[in-house]
Amino acid sequence: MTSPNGRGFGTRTIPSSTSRDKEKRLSETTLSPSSQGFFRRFFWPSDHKVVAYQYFVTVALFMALGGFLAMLIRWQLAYPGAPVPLFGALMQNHFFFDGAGRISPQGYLQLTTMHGTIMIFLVMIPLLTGGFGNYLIPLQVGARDMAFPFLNALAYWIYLAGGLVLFASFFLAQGASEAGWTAYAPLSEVSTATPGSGSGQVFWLIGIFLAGFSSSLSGMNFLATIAKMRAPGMTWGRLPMTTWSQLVTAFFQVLATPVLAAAVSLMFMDKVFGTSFFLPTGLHDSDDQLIGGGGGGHPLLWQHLFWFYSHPAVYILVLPAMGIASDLISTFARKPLFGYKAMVAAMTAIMGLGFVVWGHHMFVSGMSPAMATGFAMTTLLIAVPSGVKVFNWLGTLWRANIHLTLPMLYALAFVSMFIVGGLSGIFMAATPVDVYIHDTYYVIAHFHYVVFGGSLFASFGAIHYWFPKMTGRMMNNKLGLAHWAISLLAFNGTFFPMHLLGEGGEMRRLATSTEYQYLQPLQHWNVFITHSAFLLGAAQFIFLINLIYSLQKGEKAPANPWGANGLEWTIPSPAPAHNFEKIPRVYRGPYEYSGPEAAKLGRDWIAQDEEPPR
Amino acid sequence: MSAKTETPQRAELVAFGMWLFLASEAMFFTAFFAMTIIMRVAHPELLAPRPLGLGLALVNTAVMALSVWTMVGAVKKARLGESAVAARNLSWTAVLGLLFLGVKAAEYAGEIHGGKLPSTNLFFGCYYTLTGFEGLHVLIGVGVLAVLAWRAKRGDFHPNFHSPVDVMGLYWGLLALVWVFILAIFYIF
Repeated sequence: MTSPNGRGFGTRTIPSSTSRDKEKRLSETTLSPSSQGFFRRFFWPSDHKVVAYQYFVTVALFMALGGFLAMLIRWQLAYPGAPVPLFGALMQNHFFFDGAGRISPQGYLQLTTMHGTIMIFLVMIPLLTGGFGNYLIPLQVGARDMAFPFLNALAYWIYLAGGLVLFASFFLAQGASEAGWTAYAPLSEVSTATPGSGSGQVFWLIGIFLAGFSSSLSGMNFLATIAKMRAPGMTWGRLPMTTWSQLVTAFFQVLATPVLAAAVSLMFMDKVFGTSFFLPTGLHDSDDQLIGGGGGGHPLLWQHLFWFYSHPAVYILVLPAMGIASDLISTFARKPLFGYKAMVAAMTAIMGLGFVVWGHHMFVSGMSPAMATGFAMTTLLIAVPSGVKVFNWLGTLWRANIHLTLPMLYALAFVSMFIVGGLSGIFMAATPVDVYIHDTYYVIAHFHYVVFGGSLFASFGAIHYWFPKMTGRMMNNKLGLAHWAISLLAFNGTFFPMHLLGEGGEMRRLATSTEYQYLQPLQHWNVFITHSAFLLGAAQFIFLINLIYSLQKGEKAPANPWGANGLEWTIPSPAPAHNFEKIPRVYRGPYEYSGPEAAKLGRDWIAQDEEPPR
Repeated sequence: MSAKTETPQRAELVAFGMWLFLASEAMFFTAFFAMTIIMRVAHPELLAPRPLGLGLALVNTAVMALSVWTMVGAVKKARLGESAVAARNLSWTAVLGLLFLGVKAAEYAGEIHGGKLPSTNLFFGCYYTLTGFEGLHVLIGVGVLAVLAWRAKRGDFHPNFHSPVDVMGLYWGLLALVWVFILAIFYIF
């Protein structure tokens, strides 16, 4: 067989042996009929790649919605009480707007709550796991599909149902949830506390339950696929880092997400069946009516249960991005990844520690200082594996033959922004510092640096990198460069000054900071941030144009446009149904760039399944 | 009928998937048990006098034990390829599951009649939540059992294809285990 890209892989035969036959049969078991009707193909696909496309498209729509909410938030913060241009007039008295087209106080809380909820549960987690995980895992381990294709399709529809329930809550008479994406009790519990804590909060709980259930099912599928469906020769030490990161992430999805499901179920019981798990005794509303039947509950228990999931969730948000960045950086440094084993160990350490740091979100909740010290120590410890990863990326770049392609630029942006976000995380891990900056814009700056500057930039890198494999066409370089440069600049313009606002004491979820005299001198930063945010939002249209343009008119992509080693680059672009005509036999790790074996072939790369040259 | 077969590796993969699912289910129920333990520690006054009668719970324990026995029989027979016997065993497991739900419903009715609702106090909040989710899992299990019994009757399961019955056995085992914990934490201790 000659390679489809014509770069001359040479003739390859797959020698057989008994131990390999066992694995081979397993990888081939999920082969399904190649001709499927439209319904089967797009509504109940058995092809992991189609499921991934479903996630990508849905995520893009929710991201546009979440981004739009962010723009409204920024308008209010820069120009408090000014009518919103265009949208304010269009949606007077609806959604977040009052009769004059201004953002109402309750509308503002809906905006912040739903922006956070949508971006975390409906955008970043499904993008990194449902999108990239689904697309890449079978390709990178050398399998024809996921372990459980039916479950995979089901997980998407459950995710979509959860998303639609959350979306529907905007149209409720009392509006969507207003209790923040963390839904702290008792604000979220007491239906009369604020309009959004009525049916909006119940919809929120149902939506989160469904999105979480979907994420759990995906995690099981990913774990089973990576553990059991690797092609012959694909040992643990030869897995690409993207797949390793998905494996580690899947542990969180399987073991932490059910705790969130339990927490939202308990809150659902409180709101619908009148239990009082998170309601203390003797709580009265503004009309002095006693709230919450038997009472005796514990508002702090909600925080513990919520953060037991939601802290691991932030690692779900960043670990896959770390894996992607490792792949991209090694490929475009044309050098083996520095410290492969250390990278795996670091991710595993992050996972282990990730389960025991949740209390650092609760330093100001009145927890025992001894507990706070423990959580502070575990949190500071996470800086060690994170630092190991950063130094390994730098070690990979050191004296490398660096190719500044678009995916590489995004990967470098990821590393740089992750360092900023990671460092501010260390400040917040220290309890005394956190008591001061808790619930301020410093925290907002921190997690946007990690999730937007980190994970989303890595995701853009991944899209530019694997776009040829998905569509058979290259993305436009000039448009991509413009998107990268403007986004990076505007991103820092948006989020860096938030550190200053936070240190100045501006609280998050505060709609009108100008009402506080001590914040008025900082207001010019809010105006600057809003202008940067609008630029950042506008820059995303360049990306959208690039996507549409490249899909139609992009340069035709060869099978392996980047000279990369992974198994996904050994098959034609776009990747055919069932991926591999013949299950590949793997001979080496994914990062053997510029090595002696490759040199024998007269190039600086050697695919994982190429027979060792003599 | 359909002569669907699977490799031993595929059967192992399916079982592995089910174990992962059970791990996540264990975390789900553990959160509720943690809630219950916190409730018991914080409010010992809710436990004295003992709020629940043991009678119907013991009946349900017997029903659950019997259903585990018929389920294990179904797994064994499906592996041996005795599809008709497996079908009978699966049907009995489903019937016992329904009986379990019926006894639970009778117990609920008695408690509601006695004015003990989820909103009465934290003890009953925990009790209704945990038994409710256990009941929901049993109900889903009964549905799947009915489908499996129908497929077994059709002759789908044989020594080269029986993983659906195997993993159903694992799932049913988890439900029995959760019930044992419920019995201990709400009725006995």
